[in-house]
Amino acid sequence: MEEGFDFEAYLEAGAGKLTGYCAAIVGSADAEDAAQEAYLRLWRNLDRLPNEAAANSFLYKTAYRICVDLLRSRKWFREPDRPPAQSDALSDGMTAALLKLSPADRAVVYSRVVEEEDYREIAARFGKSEVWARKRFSLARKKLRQELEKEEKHNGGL
Amino acid sequence: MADFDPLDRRIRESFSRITERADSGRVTAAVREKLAGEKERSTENGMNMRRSKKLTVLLAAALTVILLTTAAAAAVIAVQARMKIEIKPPEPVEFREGKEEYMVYHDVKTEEQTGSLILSDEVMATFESLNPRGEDSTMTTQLIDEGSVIPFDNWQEAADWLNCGLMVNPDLGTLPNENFRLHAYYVNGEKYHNRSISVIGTHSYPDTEERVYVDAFIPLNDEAWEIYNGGVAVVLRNDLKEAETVSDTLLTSLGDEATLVFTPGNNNFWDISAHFIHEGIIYRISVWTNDRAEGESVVRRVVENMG
Repeated sequence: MEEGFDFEAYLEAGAGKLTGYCAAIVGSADAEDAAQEAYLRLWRNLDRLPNEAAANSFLYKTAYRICVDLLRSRKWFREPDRPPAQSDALSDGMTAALLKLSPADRAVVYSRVVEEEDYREIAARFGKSEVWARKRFSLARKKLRQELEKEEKHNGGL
Repeated sequence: MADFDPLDRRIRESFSRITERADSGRVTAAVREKLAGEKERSTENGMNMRRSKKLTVLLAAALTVILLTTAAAAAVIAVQARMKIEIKPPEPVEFREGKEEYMVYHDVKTEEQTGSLILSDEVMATFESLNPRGEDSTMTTQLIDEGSVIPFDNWQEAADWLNCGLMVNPDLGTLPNENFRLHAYYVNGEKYHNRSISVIGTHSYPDTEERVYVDAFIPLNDEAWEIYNGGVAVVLRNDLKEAETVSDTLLTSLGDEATLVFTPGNNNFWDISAHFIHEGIIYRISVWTNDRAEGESVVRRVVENMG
């Protein structure tokens, strides 16, 4: 790692963002564990990473893998025990649609829409090309629209 | 990014609800605590775990392979075609660094072919934004530059995006293999005006040199069919003057007739491949392995489960 890299400061500055990213993929209940493990793995691999950009890429790729492993181990996106905040029916439909996306799609949509990351950054997080990120995002939005339309039709038919 | 799009607004609202209860303060505190403990220990616990890259993994997965067909594409001209494969004797070629090697051609002929597939404007625009290849000769299996392909994570994703009735195999696409590659590329021939899309998935196993390869060839016009009839080449890497290729037939569960071809390679390896056509797309499933029986079992099972 390049000189002057301060892991403590890096952790402090980015923990909120990474924890949100993990929560988007795996749910709030396990996001903290996933983010924590990703930071620990990053720390153990700092010697191999040339600079902060590489560290970012490593951190997010690792966090994604940890989240996916968690999802595989329990086959479900888990919420904390207490009930979710009150919400309207439309937003619940969107939440359900988001949870139907693959973990990768959910991560891409979160990165693009919530974090407002550009495609290059999103691609770096997955070790893929910008074309891949654009295509993923476009596919995921298409799926979300389809899910919402399905639900609206269903609600209209009741 | 302004919330001009109502879809984005709703996405933000929902993610806000999904993520609001995760506390990053607890993350930083826990990381600091654990790092303090780790720093005290002088030895680092290597945690890199290597995944098994054995073909046996594939074999286990293949037992549960279920191939699904995607919804019919909006603009597909359904075609009925049969495939005939003629085997030619190995030909010596100067392939790499002046080294003489031998190449076996599976001379693929499609019969009764009358149509082609039409992909959506959006999909074609994406392909055309890349660097299309100008192939006017036979299909090849060489690696492709990053800038000229569209990568996919799995077959379902490719099928969803292409939306042309591509058969998919989720199990093959999700095998625990870091060397899995799945991509599509676009051919826009210069001489014969052939246009086609090829979707290629490869699982390579460097430890054993085994390989599983699935190729779906999507012709976009009649010239592409003609070009495909040029054959499929299999490169053999050393002296195989005496090698012969044998073939057999089998059926997919949808009744498509597949031709199974066994081609011996060097070091007792075999290329065992099945070729068939379904709904205007030409498929080739190939296993490169030194265990002919296992390779044949994989190919047969994959083909027979298609449906």
